[in-house]
Amino acid sequence: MRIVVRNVRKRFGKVVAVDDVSFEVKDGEIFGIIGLSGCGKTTLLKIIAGILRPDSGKIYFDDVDVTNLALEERKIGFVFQDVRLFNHLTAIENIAYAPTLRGEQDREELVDWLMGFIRADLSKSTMPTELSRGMQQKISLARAIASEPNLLLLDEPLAGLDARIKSTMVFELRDMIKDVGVTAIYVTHDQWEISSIADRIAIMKAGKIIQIGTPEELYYRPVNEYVATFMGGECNLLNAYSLGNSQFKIGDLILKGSRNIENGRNVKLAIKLDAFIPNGRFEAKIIERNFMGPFTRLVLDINGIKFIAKMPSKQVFNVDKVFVDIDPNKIVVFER
Amino acid sequence: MFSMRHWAYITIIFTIALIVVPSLIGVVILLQLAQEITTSQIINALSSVMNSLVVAGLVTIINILVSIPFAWRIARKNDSLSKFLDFILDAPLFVPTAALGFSVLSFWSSGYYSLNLISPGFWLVVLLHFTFTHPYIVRTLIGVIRSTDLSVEVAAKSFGIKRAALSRTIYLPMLKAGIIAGALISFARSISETGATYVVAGPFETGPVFIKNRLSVDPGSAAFAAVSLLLVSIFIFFIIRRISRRRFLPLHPETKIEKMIGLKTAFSINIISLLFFAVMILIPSFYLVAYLSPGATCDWASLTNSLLLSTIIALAVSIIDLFFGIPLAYYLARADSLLRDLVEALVIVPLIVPTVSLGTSLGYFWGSFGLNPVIAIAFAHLSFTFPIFVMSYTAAIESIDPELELVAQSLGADTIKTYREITLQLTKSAIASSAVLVFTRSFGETGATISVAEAMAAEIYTLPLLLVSWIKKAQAGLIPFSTVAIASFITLIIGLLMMAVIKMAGGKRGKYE
Amino acid sequence: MNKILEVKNISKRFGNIQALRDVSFDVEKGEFVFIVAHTNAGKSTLLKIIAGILEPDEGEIYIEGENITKTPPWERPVGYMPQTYALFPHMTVLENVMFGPIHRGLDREEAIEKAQKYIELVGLKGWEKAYPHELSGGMQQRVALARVLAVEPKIILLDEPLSALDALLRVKLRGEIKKILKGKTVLWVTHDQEGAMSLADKLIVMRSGRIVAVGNAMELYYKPTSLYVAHFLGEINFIESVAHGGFVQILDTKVSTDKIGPVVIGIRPEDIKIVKNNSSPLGRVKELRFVGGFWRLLVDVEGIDLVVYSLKRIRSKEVSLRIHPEDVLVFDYPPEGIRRAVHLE
Ligand SMILES: Nc1ncnc2c1ncn2[C@@H]1O[C@H](COP(=O)(O)OP(=O)(O)OP(=O)(O)O)[C@@H](O)[C@H]1O
Ligand SMILES: Nc1ncnc2c1ncn2[C@@H]1O[C@H](COP(=O)(O)OP(=O)(O)OP(=O)(O)O)[C@@H](O)[C@H]1O
Ligand SMILES: [Mg+2]
Ligand SMILES: [Mg+2]
Repeated sequence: MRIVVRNVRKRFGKVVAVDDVSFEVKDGEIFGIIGLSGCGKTTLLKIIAGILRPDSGKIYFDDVDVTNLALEERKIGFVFQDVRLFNHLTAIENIAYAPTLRGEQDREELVDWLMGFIRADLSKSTMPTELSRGMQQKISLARAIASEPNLLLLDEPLAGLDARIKSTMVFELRDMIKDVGVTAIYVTHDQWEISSIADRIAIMKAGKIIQIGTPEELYYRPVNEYVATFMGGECNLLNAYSLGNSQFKIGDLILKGSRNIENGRNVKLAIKLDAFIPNGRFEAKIIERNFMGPFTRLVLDINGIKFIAKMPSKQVFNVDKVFVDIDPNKIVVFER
Repeated sequence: MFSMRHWAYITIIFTIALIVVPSLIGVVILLQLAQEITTSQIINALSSVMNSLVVAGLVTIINILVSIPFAWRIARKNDSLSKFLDFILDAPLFVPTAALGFSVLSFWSSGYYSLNLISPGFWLVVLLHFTFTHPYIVRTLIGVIRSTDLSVEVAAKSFGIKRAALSRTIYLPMLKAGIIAGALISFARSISETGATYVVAGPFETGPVFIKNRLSVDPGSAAFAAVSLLLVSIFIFFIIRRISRRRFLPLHPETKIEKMIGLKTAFSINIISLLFFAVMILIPSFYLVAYLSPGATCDWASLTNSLLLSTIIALAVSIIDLFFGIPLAYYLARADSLLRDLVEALVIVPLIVPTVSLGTSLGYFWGSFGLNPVIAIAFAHLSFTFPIFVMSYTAAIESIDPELELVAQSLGADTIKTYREITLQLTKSAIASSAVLVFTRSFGETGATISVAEAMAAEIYTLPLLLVSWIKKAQAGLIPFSTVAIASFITLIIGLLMMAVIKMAGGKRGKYE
Repeated sequence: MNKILEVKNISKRFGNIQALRDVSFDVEKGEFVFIVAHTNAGKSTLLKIIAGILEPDEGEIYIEGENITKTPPWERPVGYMPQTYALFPHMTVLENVMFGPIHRGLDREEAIEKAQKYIELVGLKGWEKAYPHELSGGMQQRVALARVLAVEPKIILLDEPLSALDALLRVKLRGEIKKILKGKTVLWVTHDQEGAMSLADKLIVMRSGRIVAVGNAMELYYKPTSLYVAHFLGEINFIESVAHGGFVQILDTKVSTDKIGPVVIGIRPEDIKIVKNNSSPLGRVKELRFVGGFWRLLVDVEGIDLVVYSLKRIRSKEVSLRIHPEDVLVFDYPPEGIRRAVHLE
């Protein structure tokens, strides 16, 4: 199903939760929404589902205006951020809820298959309140998929799962959604997760959509500093000026950026944390380090300028300086 | 450290010593009388008990059906109709039961402009019982609906599940505690009601009517009936409690009928429940007012005195109920032990004992301490109001997530502070609902009060007793009926005003809006 | 040695589910301890028992040498942030956050001041008067965090405190929490292995109600005590092999080992280098995915599928791989098989 959201607006008192948002989701696409806590993601999903009415704007499903259609009429699978399981039913009945009420014959196989997918080995009598939070989240996901919806709305469906299982489930979930062919809108605050699952991503800020693009586009061609910082949580933002030929000067340092700007112009460089490649020509003193497994987060000093970097842990073991190059592709240039 | 638990234990002792034991003493004494009775006496007694069960069962089932949509509307829609209904809902409970019987009789059977539809007997008893049980179910339900977090409903709706199936699979199971509590109170009230039933029963004998009729002439039969009624009711309560722990409604596919129930049907169900309330409950209860005529007057001094006396008793009783009922309800809602189940079973007893025998029993018990009759009456009222409060409020606490309480404790609040600042705040509207039930019950009670007064040979006129005596006089042609009508009317107005104050104190809205 | 918290042989069961089995560990004063585990492992159960809102079936909890197993929660010098937030729905943000300080004996003024300080810390200044249902999920989580921090207890138990927050805020709050809680003892449950490793003084790995490893993050990552821990802390390739003559071989790399017979070789994806040199074994790129910051490749070399990370985009269909012997881990072959040994429940 194709979804069109046109000029949707919603305010709660003084807070404008969704501010003139428009976008389109293609049939069978997985559309990601990411943004700061409180930026309006959940509100937007609730409007698309019909749980909330927009103050203005329209929602179309396959070119049909559904803005005033009741929630019950939209056939949506919603995975709620706050889980919302039916605590008076068993966990398995929760999953089977929609198929059972519709009287579908194959519901038992469906439930078994979904339990396999979410890796839940539940007894028939287990109640949701007896489950851990992560498990409840998985049940909620399975319940939504089991309802065979026209549109799947997923609000942080894998929150509460550990990073390892999440990294496998994300891909499995993507494969499953693609297999079923259902259109999905996926909200999360985890940029790795959203890059792995979504075909296109919208970045929201304070109720507005700032940029829509593929994961790579957002990463390599952010429209502004905010987007550059957002995909990663941290970013080096530095004032520089252009020397032409894609060369930029910061203090005594001359760096090559991802595009050329007219000589002499002031620019802002957004340098990704993973732009720093070992065995290069700049000498960098390590001022601070945080081990994070495969990578270590570093604060580097290159010619008196401080950079935050993420580098392969083994390259920076037991040394107080490294030689690095900075990948020009990962230096985004903004004009000032 | 004094905690909720200690308080609960003190309350349990209070309950057993001051409420359960006094209510049962009379029954135990009666039991000795029941030793030499014949088979035919037994059969008569049992058939009256059977009658009571049929009436109570029928009334409760129909009541549940019409009350749920009614309570739902009042609790979930915040329009002026809801506010009005919320205001007027408990009105039938202000009519003293004897006057209520008379009013219902006048409306359906014989009286001014009466319908002359139904003559005294089984059906009239059923119609009567609707009037005084309906408010219990509705009130309890409103309290529970307002304190339950029903936000999961959107999940079910998003799957395209429509109203009827939604109610069956989500709403009703989630409100189970409230429905059961309301149904049990209503069942118990119906089983034990004497005063009004007596007026409309005609040749038909419910258990309590049977007991009232035999008490002086054939105490053995009366005692046997009282004891059987008590035992059977306790048994039924036990069974209902057992069943209610289990699954409530099946999770089977949406039926054709359910699918057909759309907005229109829902609307007509609403209309039916509204009509039911108006025609079956409200108008019959206040049909007495039809006797109102211009220039009607009454003995204002007696009326004021009685009004004052009843208000004071009802207030005192409500406050004591709250004081001891809250910790007990909390205990029943949160504990999980054999003692808990036992206490729960015991608390209900005074509600099941027919009011006549209850009154006699209580009069005898408190009289033997040489208590002031007014205080004895207050104690009597405590007995049959306490269970109502506890049952109705327990259901509300059960709908609050215990995790909130635990977190409050880990933040430094002991159990009493936790109750005061978390649980109490979240169940305020349920407390108000329950308090309304208790207050009105005390304010309008006739049967047991008369018995206590008689047993203690005291000339005491609570408002219901005054009205009953006036009705008797009017029936004897000594005073005009308009006197009774105006007195009832004034009672109603004052009662409603007092209720409005109590409800305001509780705050109307639920916490999850 | 200054043990502030000792957990001794705690067990807990719910019906026929054994949520915790004989869990013991110590925490020193001022330590930041992270508990990481799969879902359902018993992490929340453990925190609840330490907070005193759940009773253990067996075992004891000591705080500063004193047995507090039977002490009620409100008398424990412990603050607990539940995973479900459990905000009081009838109280505003400010009232929620003030609740702890007030009940821990502060007067109103002080409590408000303290509450405001922490509300500001979590970035919710200006929201003091809002009710929980008016907040987004992440905002609610921050209120719950502020509420426990405001108690300023000796020991702070955090159950997934930042899981609903965006990366920007998470990174910022992590730093601030570490700063503001300096000197306090923190027991922090998380699903985020990377975050845990970057902050932890000590890492506890649990599995199905048991503790399977305790130690320093780097130690556990590079010298894991079991296949499970190696797998749980980060992606790793496991290859079945046989050791003989004091060696095992992976691709063209020989690694010396004292193990004999069937073994499992572990190599982390970031330790497999893609080289230009064609004398190294050649692999076919089966899958290539951009996973934010780096590329994840699935390479088929000599019939073995290896996951390899690359900072650069790889455009060719074939790559040469090199493994250094010092990066290779060798484990005994687990009797239950690799899959079961590393299964994330
Ligand atoms: N029912 C409501 N009443 C008042 N304000 C609300 C309500 N629901 C949401 N808001 C406000 O709208 C804004 C957006 O909230 P929303 O839940 O959509 O955020 P979000 O992007 O989902 O954030 P998170 O990642 O933290 O879940 C917030 O400022 C929130 O306070
Ligand atoms: N109240 C309860 N009744 C019955 N079983 C329970 C209860 N609480 C927890 N359990 C069970 O105990 C086990 C551990 O649960 P716990 O919540 O501690 O897991 P967890 O490690 O915190 O998981 P998550 O990462 O998903 O939060 C689970 O199997 C769960 O089903
Ligand atoms: Mg949200
Ligand atoms: Mg948990």
